[in-house]
Amino acid sequence: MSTDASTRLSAPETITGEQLREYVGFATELLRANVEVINSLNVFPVPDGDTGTNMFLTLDAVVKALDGPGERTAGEAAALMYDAAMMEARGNSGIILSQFFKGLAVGLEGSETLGASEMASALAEARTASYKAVANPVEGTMLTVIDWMARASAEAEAAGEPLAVMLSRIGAAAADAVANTPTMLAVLREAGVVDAGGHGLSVMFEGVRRAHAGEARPESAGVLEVPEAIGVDHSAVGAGVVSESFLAHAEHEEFGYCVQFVVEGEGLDVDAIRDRIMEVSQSTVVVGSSEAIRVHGHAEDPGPMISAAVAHGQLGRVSMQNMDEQHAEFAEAHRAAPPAADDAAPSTPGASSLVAVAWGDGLEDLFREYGSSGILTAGDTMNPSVAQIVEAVDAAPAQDVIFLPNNKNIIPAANQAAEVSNKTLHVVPTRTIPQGIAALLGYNAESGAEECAAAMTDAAADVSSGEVTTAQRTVSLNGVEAQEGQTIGLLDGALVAAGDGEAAVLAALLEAAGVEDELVTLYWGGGLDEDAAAEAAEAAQTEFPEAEFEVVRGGQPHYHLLVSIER
Amino acid sequence: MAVKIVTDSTGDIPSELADRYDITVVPATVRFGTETYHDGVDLTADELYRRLTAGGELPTTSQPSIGEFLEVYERVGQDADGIVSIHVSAKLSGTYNSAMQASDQASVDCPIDVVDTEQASMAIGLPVLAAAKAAKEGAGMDEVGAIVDSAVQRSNCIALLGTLEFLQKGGRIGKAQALVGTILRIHPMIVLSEGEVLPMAKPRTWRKGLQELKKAYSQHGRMEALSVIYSTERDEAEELASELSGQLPEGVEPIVARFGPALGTYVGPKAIGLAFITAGA
Repeated sequence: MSTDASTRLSAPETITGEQLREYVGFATELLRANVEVINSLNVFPVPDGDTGTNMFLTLDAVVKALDGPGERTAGEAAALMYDAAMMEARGNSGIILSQFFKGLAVGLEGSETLGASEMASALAEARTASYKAVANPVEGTMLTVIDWMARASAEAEAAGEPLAVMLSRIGAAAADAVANTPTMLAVLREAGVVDAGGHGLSVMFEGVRRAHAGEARPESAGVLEVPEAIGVDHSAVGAGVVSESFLAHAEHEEFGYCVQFVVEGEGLDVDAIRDRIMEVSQSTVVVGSSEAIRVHGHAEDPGPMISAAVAHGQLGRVSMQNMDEQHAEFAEAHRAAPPAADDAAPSTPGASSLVAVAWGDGLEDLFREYGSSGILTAGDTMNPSVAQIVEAVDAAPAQDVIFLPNNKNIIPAANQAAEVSNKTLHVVPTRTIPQGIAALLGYNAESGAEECAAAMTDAAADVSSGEVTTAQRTVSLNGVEAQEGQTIGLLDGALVAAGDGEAAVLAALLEAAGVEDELVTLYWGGGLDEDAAAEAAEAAQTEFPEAEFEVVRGGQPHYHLLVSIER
Repeated sequence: MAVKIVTDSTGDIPSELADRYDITVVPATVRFGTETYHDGVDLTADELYRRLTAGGELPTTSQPSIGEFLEVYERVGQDADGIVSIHVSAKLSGTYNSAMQASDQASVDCPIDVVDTEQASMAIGLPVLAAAKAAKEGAGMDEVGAIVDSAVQRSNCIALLGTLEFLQKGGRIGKAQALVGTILRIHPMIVLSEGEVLPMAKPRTWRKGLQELKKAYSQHGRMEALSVIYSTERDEAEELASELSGQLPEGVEPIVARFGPALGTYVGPKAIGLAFITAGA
């Protein structure tokens, strides 16, 4: 830490409420610049990484909570930040982040300012709160990073180090912890990545440290290097998680406009589009599938970026910001669609209402048809915030509301929503759409909500869930080797098949599931058409003559097939 | 002289039991277009399900006419102390109405007691059998009436259908409308409650449906009588009957019966039903 000596002199020994706001603002900006990188640190090579987005949106809400005039103590600022984090938290990572702020709020309660000793106690509280927030704490995740940060702060405090040194030590511990996450968690080791949420936290803290050290905010806060995953055989995992060219470009300082949009079409060539966009922009991130590609880039003239993409498909969600301006629009562009108000609310409320999260027109119709009064439409890869869940639940006609998250990353926010909602919220912890549909069919608006939710939970446990999608990178997991761009099959969250074409992968997926005479329902979407889905089903029927197949329009993004297997 | 028992064909009582206990069954009418048949007389269950499966025009049903009831009451009443006439839910059929009017007009000397069971299939048939057994043993009109009332109150019917199609097209769906969905195939499970068809569950696989059916049955505790009713799958019904016999008293066997042409028009092929009388207090 060669900079310690120089920064130590100017950096304040205690932090006021106003300074805290400034530092977290800096951290938010740094996180924003790293969103796509964090998103790309996905264990499974599926196109739904959104840890970075979730963390950024949560943190963005935290900063906004401190907008407005008035002097605040550090303790008051921390309390406001926690309230905002709790309401706006989305995704697993957002929830843990909100618990991090809870610890901060508890540790700083009644404190005028934040000094080294408050920092240490706040991190200790943050550690306690974060571990408590997770049902089964697993090491090698954000929790480990928080733990190492808390330990570093305790050691620095014991040694009587000044705040600047303590922050450096904490930052170094965070980065170390991130690098070590693969040594603790086999799934990261196999995938050859570090934990995304952990890296996000490390980036965020680096922002605080830089702000405290008095570093000027650069025009673009800069993309940080991802710590190299320790314990990973890099030759075995194929191509790097984040493309070299991306990192090379991202290091530049840019001026001009931050341009983001989505290209939708058929048979999109992600690599070709990336190459074209890269020629005309910097900090280029082009990710997605053959049907939908998200483009992010910085350019002095945004025109060529748009022209380069428009030839390939339809543009949507175009956002263009002067980079001097702040990130409000970014948050807006990534915000999940607001809950559809009053969707087909039954005229006479029963004993309970049902609200479900769904993606895609077919699935939304399905959830409505079988009794959901409200659908929370999370956009592609977007998890709704606690506040959005509460809003949707409040809009439901009955006082007792049963909620289907239908995604394992939404369950924590749903549980948090249950605590803050004025209604009685019964969360049926469905981890997948097929589980959600099994639970949905067990819904009975007339029976008691609690009893009904219990029956729905049982029903959800009776199905196996499969997914067929396109590998976003080359990977070797569970002994399955998948090349980037190949079709892959996941069964209950584990990679089980890789091959060419939906039919072959579906057959391998069903084989892995041990299918004999089950009912297999295929929900098609992600750019796959009905004919292709029917063909895959026919081919599978030949291989599994005893099984029954049903092909249903899902319309979900990214996933060519969502597969439900039930006996 | 004795009390005589009359019922209608929607009670699905196997004909050998009707014969043995001297039960008079008035047939409902089943129509395919202009062809008119009498339930169980000139239209067999096999023939009905064959025609339902083959597609084409769906049949309609109608209650026995007042005249048909009059004829039965006047014939049976000639040497009876009284007639207890036990029928399908008045909310599902006009049978009870026909019987009531016929009972007013019949020129017989004995009293006629017409009962709305608010039930269908063997959930009518089981109380009918209880009444007929008592009548055969010489019970009087009051006693038989009390036995019927008690049995009817404890009589239940739940069913698992291959499809909701026939119930829906036949216009008897009632509140089970809630089960209607076009996106996913389900095997609707229904219950008759207070004379109406209510939705019970939406299992997607037949296996799960059978589990739900057994679970619903087992929750009722001890039983006095049980019948398993099928439309086309006799083996499945027999297997289910032996599996569920444990809740019956010693010496009581479950009765395997068949959804006759009138009810078959609504439940369709593959349906399995359970009718049972729970044990009294």
